[in-house]
Amino acid sequence: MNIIKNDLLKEQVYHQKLDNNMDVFFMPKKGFTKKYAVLAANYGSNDLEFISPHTGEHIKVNEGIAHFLEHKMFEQPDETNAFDKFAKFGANANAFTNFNMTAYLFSSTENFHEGLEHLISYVQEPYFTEENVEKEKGIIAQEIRMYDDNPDWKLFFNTLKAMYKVHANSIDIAGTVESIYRITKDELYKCYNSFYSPSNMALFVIGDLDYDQIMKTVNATVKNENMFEGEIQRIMPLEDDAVRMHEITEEFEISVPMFSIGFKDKKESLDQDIMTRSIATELIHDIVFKKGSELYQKLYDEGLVFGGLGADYTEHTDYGYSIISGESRDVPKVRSMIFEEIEKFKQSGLDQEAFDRVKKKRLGGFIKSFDSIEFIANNYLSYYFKGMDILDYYNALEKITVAQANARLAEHFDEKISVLSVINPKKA
Amino acid sequence: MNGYEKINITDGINLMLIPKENFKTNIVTIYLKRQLSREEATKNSLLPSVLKSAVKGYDSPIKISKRLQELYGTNIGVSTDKMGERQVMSFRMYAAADMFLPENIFEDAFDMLRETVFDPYITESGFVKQYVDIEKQNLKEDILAKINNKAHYALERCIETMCESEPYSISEDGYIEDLDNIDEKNLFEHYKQVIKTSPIDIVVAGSFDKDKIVEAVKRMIQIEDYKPVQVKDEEIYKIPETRYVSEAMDVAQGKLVMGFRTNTAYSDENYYSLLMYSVVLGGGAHSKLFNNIREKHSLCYSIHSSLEKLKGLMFISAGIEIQNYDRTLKLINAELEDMKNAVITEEELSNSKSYITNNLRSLNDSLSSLIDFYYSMSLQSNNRTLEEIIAIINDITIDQIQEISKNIYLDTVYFLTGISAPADTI
Repeated sequence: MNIIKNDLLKEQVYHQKLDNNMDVFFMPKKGFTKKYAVLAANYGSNDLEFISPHTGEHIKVNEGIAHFLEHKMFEQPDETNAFDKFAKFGANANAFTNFNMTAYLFSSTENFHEGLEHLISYVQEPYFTEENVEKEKGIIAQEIRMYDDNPDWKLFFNTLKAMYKVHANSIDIAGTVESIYRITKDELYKCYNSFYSPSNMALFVIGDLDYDQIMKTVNATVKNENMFEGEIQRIMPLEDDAVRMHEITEEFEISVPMFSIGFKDKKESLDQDIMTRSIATELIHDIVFKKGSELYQKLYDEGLVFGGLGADYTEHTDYGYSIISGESRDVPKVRSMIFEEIEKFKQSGLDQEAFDRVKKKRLGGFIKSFDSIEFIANNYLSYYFKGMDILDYYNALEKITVAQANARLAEHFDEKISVLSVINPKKA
Repeated sequence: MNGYEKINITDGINLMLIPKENFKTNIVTIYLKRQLSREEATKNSLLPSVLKSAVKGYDSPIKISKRLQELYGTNIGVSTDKMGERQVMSFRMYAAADMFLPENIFEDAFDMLRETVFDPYITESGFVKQYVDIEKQNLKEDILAKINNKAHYALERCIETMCESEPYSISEDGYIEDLDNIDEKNLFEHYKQVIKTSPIDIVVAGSFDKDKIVEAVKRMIQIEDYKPVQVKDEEIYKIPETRYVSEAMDVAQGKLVMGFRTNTAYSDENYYSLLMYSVVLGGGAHSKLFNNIREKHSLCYSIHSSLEKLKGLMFISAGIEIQNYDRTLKLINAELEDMKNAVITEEELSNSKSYITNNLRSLNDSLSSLIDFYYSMSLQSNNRTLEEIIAIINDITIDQIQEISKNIYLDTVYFLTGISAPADTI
């Protein structure tokens, strides 16, 4: 066991790798009532082609299967639902799937160890039948239809669709109604056996709890089935430095046009240190686009953007992108103002005073985020699967220089590999 | 432990302190409470966003933003909400706690919040015309954008229909047709009136020095001619005839909302039987609606019931295939029938108790939820502590849930359907 300490936050994380290669983390949180655990597989909607770590078989699966599998994990061999037992313990349980991770979680104020035992047990005990797989299709179809009515989701996915030519990022996490209807019980087991191996999973526990007791519960419950050494070979088509299309437009029953401008990371950018790449990009967003920037003020004063300009960077080991988004009645004008602003900063460089100020903002934000035990646990694992420790964020933030940010500005915000996604109001 | 301390500063002004040493954030919220009325709704909706655009010491949004960045990313968020038949303007500050920072910021952050509410930047004619104009436009766009979120839109339409001639149907966002008559002058006059006549609540949560806070609040609140106007409690008792309404929009999925009158007041002990009723029926993955409508019949992904506790309303919401409307409604009605006939297992009862208890205890771990919870309790003088509520919940019997079901009447069934489906089929 090793302890990772952070003096700024006055927090620490215990880490233990089990014999079956599962990583277990624990962060004590004195004075908190709720206890929370998340058990996650390093597996998401992007993992559509891989080599089985057990048989060496080359497997290609239907789109949306990671999310489908998440739904089906709640089926129990005795025909009950994994939620039932949590309800008995007074625990709140849920699960989510994103591009790279599938997470099973629960929180409770009482009976925590019973809940933890159940969490580990049910995720390690798949029970898929032809009947229960068929039954789920109607439910997931309604989930997909719900997103079909969500213009923000459409805007976001259209941006990714335009950005990526071959990478699975352009495929909806839940798949399509057509693709999920093709999913079978056998296909689910294949994915399960490969990715839901303890060797590809991690557990994070947080709350006013005792480390030894947690390890006792974990060791008594966890199974070694499906364990392997090394990593699963994932077959990810590699993108080149071009986009599929520069512009994508759709109509929707909305009031004001919504836009999103995406910048895709180039191949060589992905070789940079992932934490530095991510923080540098966020600081640029703060200075150039977000509240407190001159561009933001100009757009506000001229009433060009409603509800402000958003800017986000999403990073992973094999991709990265910035998305600048907002709502406007004059998208072409806003778009050209955004690009003019980027050019201006490329010429003048980022200002040291502004740089120091947004660093302060990021530091305060980082500290505040450690009040949410759900945030800490989910993000710790998400960072971990990307090869980072979230507790290093502060040091990385302190260390980063304006010169590094300027270099990032010059290479990342390249109009040639940018896309524009627009959702226009439906014409009556 | 009570969990909070309430200090009456003067008639109409209350300070609530929630000490929590284990948090890294301090949160301060100032609430201004108004009676929900058609005349004031739009002005009250607009006011907070105008106030946060320019304060005495920082006369533009960019100056405010830069100042807040210097204060280690302190956020000030404003909103106008409907709480029962009150329209409440709130101003909330989130600041990282001093002990984790290289310098102390709490007092400066608190002062920014104070200026936002009590010390706006003003010109000879009142507020800055430019910011009033921009925020009028922003509000107009926000109101128009309500159709973007179809599920929320459907809920709001159900409420409008259901409470047609009651104040509760008034939108807290205000009305586009009012905007032309609002300018920097009359909005500033309205602001002065609001400060002089609104009951004010200040809630402070986190780690703070109590004496300093009390003193700072007393200094902050020096309002000339302060005459608070108390707001009235809601009319909640009604036995309706059920109405069926449908509207068409270009949606992929139909949005069903059922609105009920519960004839139960939040301050009644009975309210907790109602809460149990709603949780057994549709509160989470252990509920009847989730297990039957979703898991057994695969009719939907999302389905739940919820309470509007101050107005005594209950809603069931679900997203379904348009052609499944009749079938879904029939199945939901069967569940309601079961509730009425006390077809509730001991397991459903105990799961629901655990669910509520866990949620209530968990409030202790989120400062903003705790602030909201205590504030909304204070609105109808419900002064129970979390542990008292948990004790009431744990004693509730199936008989009590059956008893409360007699008070619940289906008022309105609203369906947001697709444009291709003929509306008269439902």
